[in-house]
Amino acid sequence: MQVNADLMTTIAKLQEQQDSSGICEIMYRAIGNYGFESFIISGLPDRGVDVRPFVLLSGWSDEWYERYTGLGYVHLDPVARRCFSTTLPFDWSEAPYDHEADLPARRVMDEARDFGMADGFCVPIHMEGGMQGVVSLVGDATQIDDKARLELHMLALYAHGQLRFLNSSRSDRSIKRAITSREGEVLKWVAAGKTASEIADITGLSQRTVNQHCENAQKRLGTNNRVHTVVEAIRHKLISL
Amino acid sequence: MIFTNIARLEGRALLRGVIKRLGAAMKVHVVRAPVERCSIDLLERNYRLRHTIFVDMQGWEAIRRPDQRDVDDFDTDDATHLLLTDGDELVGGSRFTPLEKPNLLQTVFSGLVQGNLPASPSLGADWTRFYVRPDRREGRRRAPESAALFCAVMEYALLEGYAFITFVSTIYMLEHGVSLGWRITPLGAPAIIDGKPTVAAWIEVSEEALANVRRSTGQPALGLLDLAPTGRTGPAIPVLSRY
Repeated sequence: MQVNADLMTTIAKLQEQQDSSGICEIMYRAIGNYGFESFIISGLPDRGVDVRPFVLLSGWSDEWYERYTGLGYVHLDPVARRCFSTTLPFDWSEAPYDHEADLPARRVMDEARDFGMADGFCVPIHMEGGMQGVVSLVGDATQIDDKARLELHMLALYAHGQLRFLNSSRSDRSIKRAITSREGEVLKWVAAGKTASEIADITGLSQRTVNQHCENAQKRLGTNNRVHTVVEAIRHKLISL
Repeated sequence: MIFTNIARLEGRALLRGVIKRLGAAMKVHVVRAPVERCSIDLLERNYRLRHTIFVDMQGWEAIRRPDQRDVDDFDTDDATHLLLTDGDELVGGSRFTPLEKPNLLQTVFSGLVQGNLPASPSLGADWTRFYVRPDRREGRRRAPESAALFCAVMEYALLEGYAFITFVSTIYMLEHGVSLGWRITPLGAPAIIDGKPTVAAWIEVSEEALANVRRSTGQPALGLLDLAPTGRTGPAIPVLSRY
């Protein structure tokens, strides 16, 4: 099967972009060809961690974005939840939750519908080292065939990869440098006064890995020691206690 | 003791530079025919580890061998192996086959290739058997072992004067490669192989691609290229092959 020529052009253009606004424009045009209206591209944090530093590019309305991020909806949203358990793209309507018992999940889905986001197509992104991300498209997913799904999957991988690259090269000096969700989790335990060996017991990670997470977070935040790292992470709302 | 055998390259001193220190004890070894006596054992360990990873763990049954060594039709004198060691332990590797010689892409995976190569086959190599020992990939981080190999791959491709590298992998590798600042172009539409969406693609080899992978992985520049012939830019190599 030949690659879709439009997709090849879009892929090439995405990789030429040096800022996220260029990627945003290309994405709108590309997903429009498949009948989708809007999108968000983001990393997914661990429970309790603010999603905002993880957002790479949002095409959502300001009102919905503020609501979704400000109220921690990412931790209730069944679509985000499902990303952790599959490598394959799925329709929002396929994200399972208990409609009777899981009221918070239902609230997120109902409110999204009220904001004109009743249906969508979600591409989970699994990064090296187990970090989790997502490219989620707003629109009617029932009308796209398997070929289109695979093309949108490719498109999502390229867009996410390019944004991640731009993020890593631009944020060398930026204060708002995101830490990974696992680093955030470890730092929260550090903030709670736990030692590396206690954190290893709690999280099931090895002590070496726990220390590595702390060192990585320190490197990302440009801090000098563990206390400094925790303080900066809290100050920039990268972790919440 | 490390060994290099880069007879094709003029100036052995230049190649010796490829064997470099990465962190405390990690080193990248360039192994190619004629394999020096001191590299024979490392190459043998590479074949056995590859069998463990690609056959026993990833379930690639087509290449299973009773002697538990992954040695295929392309482990010939034309192949170059980049092998990563930490102290005495082999922790990762990759294989390169010049595209002018028989290679995996244009035989086993030729069905994935519909487009043309970006340049003459003499300017490219097929990158295969990329692996990092699984116990080195734990935790939520990019393993320094992967980072070291990615950087070594691009550095090696530049030193060899390649303009591009081809690879076959699950499509997830496209995201990884692009996030390193590499330009990657599919050679055909993805197909489902062993239940996974799989694609053939090529990576542009360039000084920029090397600078980008170093910066995005936090690996220091080692000044190797200062010794190398300059002026060659163009398509670059992809890094993340599953096969």
